[in-house]
Amino acid sequence: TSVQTDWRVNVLIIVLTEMRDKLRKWREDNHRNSEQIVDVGEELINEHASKLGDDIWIIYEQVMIAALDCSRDDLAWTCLQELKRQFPGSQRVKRLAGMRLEALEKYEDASKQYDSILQDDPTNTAARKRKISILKAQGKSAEAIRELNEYLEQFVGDQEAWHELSELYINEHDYGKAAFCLEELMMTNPHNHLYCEQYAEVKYTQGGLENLELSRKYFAQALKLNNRNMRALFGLYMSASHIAASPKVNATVKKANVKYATWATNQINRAYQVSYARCLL
Amino acid sequence: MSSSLPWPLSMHLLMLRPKRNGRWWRRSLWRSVERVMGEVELSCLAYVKMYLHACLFPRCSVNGLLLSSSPAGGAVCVTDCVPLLHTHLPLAPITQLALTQVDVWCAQTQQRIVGYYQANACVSDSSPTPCALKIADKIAEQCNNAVLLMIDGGKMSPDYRVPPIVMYERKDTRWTLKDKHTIMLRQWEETRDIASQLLDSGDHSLLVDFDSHLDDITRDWTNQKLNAKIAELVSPANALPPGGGTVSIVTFTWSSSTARGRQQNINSMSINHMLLENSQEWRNWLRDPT
Repeated sequence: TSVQTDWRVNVLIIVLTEMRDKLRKWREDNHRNSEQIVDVGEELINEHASKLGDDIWIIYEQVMIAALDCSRDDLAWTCLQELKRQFPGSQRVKRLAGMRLEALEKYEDASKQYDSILQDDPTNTAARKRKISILKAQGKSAEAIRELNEYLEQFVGDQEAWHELSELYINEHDYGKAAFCLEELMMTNPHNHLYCEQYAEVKYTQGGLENLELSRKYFAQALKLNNRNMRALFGLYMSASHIAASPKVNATVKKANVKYATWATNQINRAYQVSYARCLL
Repeated sequence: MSSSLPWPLSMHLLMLRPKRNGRWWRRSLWRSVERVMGEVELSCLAYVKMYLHACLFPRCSVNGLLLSSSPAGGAVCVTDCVPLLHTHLPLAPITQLALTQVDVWCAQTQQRIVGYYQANACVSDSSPTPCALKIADKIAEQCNNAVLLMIDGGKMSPDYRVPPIVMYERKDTRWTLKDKHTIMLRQWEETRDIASQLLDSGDHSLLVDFDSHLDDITRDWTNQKLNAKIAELVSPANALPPGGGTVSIVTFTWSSSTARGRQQNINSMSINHMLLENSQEWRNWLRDPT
């Protein structure tokens, strides 16, 4: 009867809207949960493509990138074909084709693809970043670092790129330069507790009394911004204890750091007690 | 006696020959002597947790510690592992914190840290990184026969015949490749099947490493729940009968693991798996309400 079918159609619309909203949330937050995206997106594309309207194109792009991440070349190829058909000659689609070549480890062809994009449009940041990713995938970290530095000289405001550079430096154990990148990030994002905490970790790893003091201050700053950051709490405890144990400090500094370390211990104990209570509930 | 000895890594590469009494007896005597010198045995629990850790974070480098509950001296028997980090492996504070916490836990549970494992993000590169060597050196200060284990990402597919691990041992302050003949894995096929089964059913998301614990301290980095689940799958009811010969061990293991595998797939489907199936049915019905 018509009443029954109406009800079922409504439920279908609700489910579709949910799936579409999930995909949008993952896209906006830049989550790399590729298996889930492929799960939800493949079904949307295969079953309900007609009901999505113009959203379908951005979903094709999102699902294609996720499919490449999960080695689902069949799905990626389908998405690419649809996008090529709808947007022939688009730079954005060309970049996706290049990403597919990268996933197949055809780095030379991918590089040529990105070079052709850059010939038409030298300010295309996406293509430049993909070229740097190719270097990273091939294990050429020194060259990737050099290229990324050149990129950042031109595009100083690119947060993602600064963070990527800091990761590359950390993997190369070049803590000084990693700290510099994180300083840039902290300047432009003063409220982000994660950058403070990462900076403090890098300073701690560098070692030396000055760096330990700095790391303690930045762990404290991270805690101020988010008092539930356990890494910052533990980091505060460890840096304060190391300073207090160092033979180079005078008695007042030692006393102050012992006080900080004790405070941190109490906070840690409290946090664990609260978590145990929550588990029991 | 032959059925209770674990199979060394090298044996899996050889074609198994039928039992010839004189020669087999001599070979097993030789192996029992060799046991004392530099042998490392990797238990099912340790291998499965390492494998699941690497699978849970396929895009990051992961590392962890290898533990042993057997006393020091003689062969090293790795009975458990603790997954540590999946972000910023070369940074010091969290690594130091984790080492201290694991040390304390080991003292309480009569275990000791005997090694370190790492899986690199880059699949083609399974050589130890400088931070891996540093941590392994620190462990070697406390434990003489410490081992450094690198997981070879390129060989991790479920049908691979040999465990995807490369082991290093310390000789005169340098880490050198360990002789494959001295690495033992008890019941490799069963271990491999358990690992793939847990991966397929999505239970690898139950694994908690130290990083995840710091993100949410209600999660247990000693992984008691997952340990219990793995112990269930390795139940003694499925052990080999005594006195099985070389060839029969292989056939019995093979047939028991397939039959048991199917049985266990039905019995131990995780909640996630069942919910996924239910929602699949619901969506099927929506597509075709008749």
